[in-house]
Formats: sequence, structure tokens, C-alpha cells
Amino acid sequence: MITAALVGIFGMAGALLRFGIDSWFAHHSSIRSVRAGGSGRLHWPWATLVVNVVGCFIIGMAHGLTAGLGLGAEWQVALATGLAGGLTTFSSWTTATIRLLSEERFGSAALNVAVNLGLGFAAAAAGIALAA
Amino acid sequence: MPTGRAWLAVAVGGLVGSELRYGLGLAFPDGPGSVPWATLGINISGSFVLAALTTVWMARPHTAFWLRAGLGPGLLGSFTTFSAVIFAADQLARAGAHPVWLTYLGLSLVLGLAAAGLGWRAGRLISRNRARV
Repeated sequence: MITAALVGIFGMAGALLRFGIDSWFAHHSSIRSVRAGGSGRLHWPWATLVVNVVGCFIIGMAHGLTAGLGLGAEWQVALATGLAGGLTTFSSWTTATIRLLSEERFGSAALNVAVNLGLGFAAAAAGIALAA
Repeated sequence: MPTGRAWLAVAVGGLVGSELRYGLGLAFPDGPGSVPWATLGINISGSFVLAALTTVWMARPHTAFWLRAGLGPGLLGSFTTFSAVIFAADQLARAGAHPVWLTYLGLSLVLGLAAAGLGWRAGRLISRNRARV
């Protein structure tokens, strides 16, 4: 019961953080495209990459802290399932990739898949190693 | 920056999405050393729905922003998860279960992208049929 409440609170915090990062990137890319005279730079899902990499680091650290420092099981679930789960997103990643494919930006789509996976695994391993 | 109503909608969506994912994980627990089927199903279904909503909203740009924020980044963003996929694959790889993590990652990618592709088309079809009526 406590664990379920913690997952909800931490999941909400993760979602709000992701939304904040999303809005920040959207705001700054719109300023840049105004300065560039409207044509602007092509969109690429930077915000999703940032939250996914940070979330992978958090889930790795939650595991390491539990194994190394005896963090309680309910806090591990709060951090891993709640915070990291709420912060990272799979659906935006796949949808953004399909959007890039629909615009025939095949290289950008492939890069989006590869970079999220590569940096995600690296961040999770770093989180585990750092906290252990 | 988004309005207070949009932030509130994201908070509510994030809460519901996280609890749904947590509940499904409890209802369908991962077997030791096996593919995490619950997460896979969550990510595939979430990809389909988000992609469909995205193309529906592209056709209807006047949909309230708070509603789009609450359902997209809020509900579906929190329901689906990337970190759990990477972490589970990492742990399976460390345990030497190489066929399992490769299958899991492959299925997540192929079915997740296929679901998003189908959702994208489904959303377009829905919008087109609505426009005709």
C-alpha cells in the first residue's frame, strides 16, 4: 500500500519533470527558429533522449543503492518504477521515430533508435557501478 | 511555458499512468530469467495509442492543450517506460541470458515501432473519415 502510494507520487514527479524538459526544449527551439527566420532547424527528439538517459541512470542507481547500501525495497520500487518509469517514455520514442520516418528522414530515425539505446545502456551501467 | 492547467493534467495523467503500469506489473509478474511480458505489452499498446492520438491531433490542432498534455506526456508517457526495458535487458545480459535479452530488445523495437506505425496510420484514417462526414 505504501509502495503503491510512493510509485504514484514519484511517477507524477517523473512525468512533471519530463514535461518540464519537453517544454524547455520546445521553447528554445522555437526561439531559435524565429531567429533563423522561420525556416529554423529540423526537429529531433532531444528532450526524449535526455529524459530516457537520465531515467536509465536513476534505475541503475536505485538497483545499486539497494544492493550496496541496503535501501528499502519500497524505496527501490519508488525510484525505479515510479521516478525512472515516469520520467522515461517508450511511446514518445517510437512515435517520434515513426514521425521522422514519415518525413523520410531515415538517418535521423535510425540515429534516434541507436542513440537512445546506446546511451541508455551506458547510463544504466554507470548508475549501477556508481551506487554499488 | 505551459499553463497551470496543463501541468495539473500532466500530474494527474502521470499518476494514473504510473499506477496502471505498477498494477499491471503486480498482476503479471516477470518470471526469473524470462522476457518481461507486462512491460512489453504496456509499451506496444502505449506506442499505438500515442501515435494514433498524435496524428488525430495534427488534423485537429484546436484540441485543448491541457487535454493533449494530460493524455500524451502525462498518461501515455508515464504508462510506457524506457528505463525498465534497458534495465531488464542489462540484468538479463549480466545473468548470461543472451537469447532472452536479445529477444526482449528485438520484440520491443520491432513491435513497438510497428504499433506506432499502425497507430500513426489509424489516426490519419480516423481524421480523414471524420473530415468527410
